[in-house]
Amino acid sequence: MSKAIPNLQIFLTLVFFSFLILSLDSLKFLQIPKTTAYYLTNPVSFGFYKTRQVISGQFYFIFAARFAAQENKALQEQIGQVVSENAKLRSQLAQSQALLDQENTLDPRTYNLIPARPIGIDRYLKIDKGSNDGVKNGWALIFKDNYIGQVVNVSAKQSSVRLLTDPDSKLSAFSIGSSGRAKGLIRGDFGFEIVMDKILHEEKITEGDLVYSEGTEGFLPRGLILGRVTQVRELQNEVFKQAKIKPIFDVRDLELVFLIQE
Amino acid sequence: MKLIITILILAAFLQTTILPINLVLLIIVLRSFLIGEVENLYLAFGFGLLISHLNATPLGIESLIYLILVILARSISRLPISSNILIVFPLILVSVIFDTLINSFLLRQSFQLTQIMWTTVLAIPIYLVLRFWEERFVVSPQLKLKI
Repeated sequence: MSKAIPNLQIFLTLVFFSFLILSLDSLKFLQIPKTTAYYLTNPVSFGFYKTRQVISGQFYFIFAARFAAQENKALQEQIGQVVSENAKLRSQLAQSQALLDQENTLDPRTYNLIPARPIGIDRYLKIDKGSNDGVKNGWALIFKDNYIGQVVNVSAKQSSVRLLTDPDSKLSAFSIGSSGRAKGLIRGDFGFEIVMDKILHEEKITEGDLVYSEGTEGFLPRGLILGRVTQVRELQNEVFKQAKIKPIFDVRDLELVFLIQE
Repeated sequence: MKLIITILILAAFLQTTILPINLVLLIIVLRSFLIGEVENLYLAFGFGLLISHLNATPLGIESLIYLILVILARSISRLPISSNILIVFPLILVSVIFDTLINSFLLRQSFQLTQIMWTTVLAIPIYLVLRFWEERFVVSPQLKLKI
């Protein structure tokens, strides 16, 4: 037995003492030494516990930062969704508003209007209506009572519109202001400017006058606004005078435009 | 010996305040498995009392458990399979489960599976550290002095 269990005598002695202590403790005979021992061990335990708290506090910011990063990511996704939804609602509102304004401006009973959305701009303005929607070359594109351009290329689901600033764009126009009235020819200049040319010297034109379409080209009605005079160039040695025209609005800001059917 | 006592005191306070791992049991059982000194019985008895005191459980229960586990470890260390290091896994697993079962039965404590798991996971690293420390002055038969 003693070979199977080494130090059997010591083992049995210690087991006996263990049982003895257990019995004495169960009978509450060891309260005084235990209480005394607690005076020693409790501060040490508290020290360990407090140290853990301090260390945990030092490292808490790592977990807090991680949690904040996750929360931030989730919130950014939510903001993205809300912004997207907001943009969609704003777009729908703008389209509704544009439809309403257009109906108030040009009588839909007189003009057959097809609403279209601008989808891009380079040299030409691109709209989301094409030959599948019945769009044809030469149609005029308007917004309220403002002329925007003329359809020059039509594909199945897209059309290109030549703007007034395009060098190939030419329209007969007239201006009306407080000083009087002037006739001329509107053309694009270098792709970013509109010039009203062929104005006779005796005709009155000043800055701020509105310029309207003459309507002689046939594809657009008379009286559509083309822009506002920002500068008059008058040279005595030339037959005609010129005026710089600025569109009333920026094409890039438009949500919905309208094609006038032939 | 002083060092192992210091480490065990530190481990006792750590396991009763911060770590949910039975470090004292781990060290005593592994040391008994590694070296068959009679001091292991004294360590088991003394630190069993300390753990009981720090856990505010009846004194003597942990001592009894540790004493039994020391004898068990010593007996297993004599088996031929004890040369395989992986034997410490079942040894520690059985030891911790035994300790937890006795405590849950006598003291009506809940059975802590995480404590068993972590203690078992730490068995191999602590065994290697103990072996490295205890065998530091043991002369290896492969090493011969070149004259």
